[in-house]
Amino acid sequence: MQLNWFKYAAPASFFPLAGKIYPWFYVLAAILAIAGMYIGFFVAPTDFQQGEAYRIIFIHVPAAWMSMFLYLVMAFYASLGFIFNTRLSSMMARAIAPTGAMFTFLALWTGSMWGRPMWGAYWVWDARLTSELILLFLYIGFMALQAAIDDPRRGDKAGGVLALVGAINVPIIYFSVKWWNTLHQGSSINLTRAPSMASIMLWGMLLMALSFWMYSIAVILSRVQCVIVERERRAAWLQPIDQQST
Amino acid sequence: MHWNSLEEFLAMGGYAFFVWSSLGVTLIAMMLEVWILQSQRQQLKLPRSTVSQDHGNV
Repeated sequence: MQLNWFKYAAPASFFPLAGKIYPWFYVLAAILAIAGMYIGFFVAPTDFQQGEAYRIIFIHVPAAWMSMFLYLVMAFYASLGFIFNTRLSSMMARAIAPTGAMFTFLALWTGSMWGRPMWGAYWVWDARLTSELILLFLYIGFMALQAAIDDPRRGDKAGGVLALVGAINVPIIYFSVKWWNTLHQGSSINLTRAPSMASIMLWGMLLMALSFWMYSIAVILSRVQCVIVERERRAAWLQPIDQQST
Repeated sequence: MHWNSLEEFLAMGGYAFFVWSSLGVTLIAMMLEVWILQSQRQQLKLPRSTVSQDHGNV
């Protein structure tokens, strides 16, 4: 039996698949969010140093993780688009950007809300905060650049280059707390050491991170359907949808 | 559960503004994103979801 690795690389075959599966990811996101928020707000104890303000962590850290990971996924799809010249890859990159930007904004906002009571400042130009802000500019720049280019394929390529060049920022954000003297605290979760936080708090964070992941997949699959329809409007396989009324 | 009352829960140890505005903005941002997406889908005449539909060869 021969596997066709590129079966779902065709917009026409990916479109119904995306449509069938994305609602389930909303459901998963909701369930995981309820579990995560319950742990974060009702089970996890008060922090000895920060009191109740630390509970922002259950949104701040998952949002920050998503902001970085979604950018890498976006850059990955952009590179697939360059390597295989598949337009669906570039469509996926376009679909990811707004959600990535949203999570970056949320990471910055919740971080600011946490910084004011803890550090006394809504904002400092420390390495991590600054590089996360740059990440937001990269997302917005990616969307603006593609919106400014009329020919979608040229837009795909231009945006793809920006996504790939900007990808260096993600390891900078990640290692910033190690490479520079930063106000932002160092990493509590490492690949090699045991986590330096109470496990119940870690669980709350992981559940929320999973929830944000499921939400992202739902939104991105839904959005890529919009991108596909906009781009492939005149394709024969879409005519049935054009003629349907909902 | 270690909240002794609803007032205590809402007060968040004095950090109510910071904690609840974080949560609030997050919820608003996500709902806004989904709402924008849904209206885009509607504009493109996409079904809200294609779970219950089978386009056959499509």
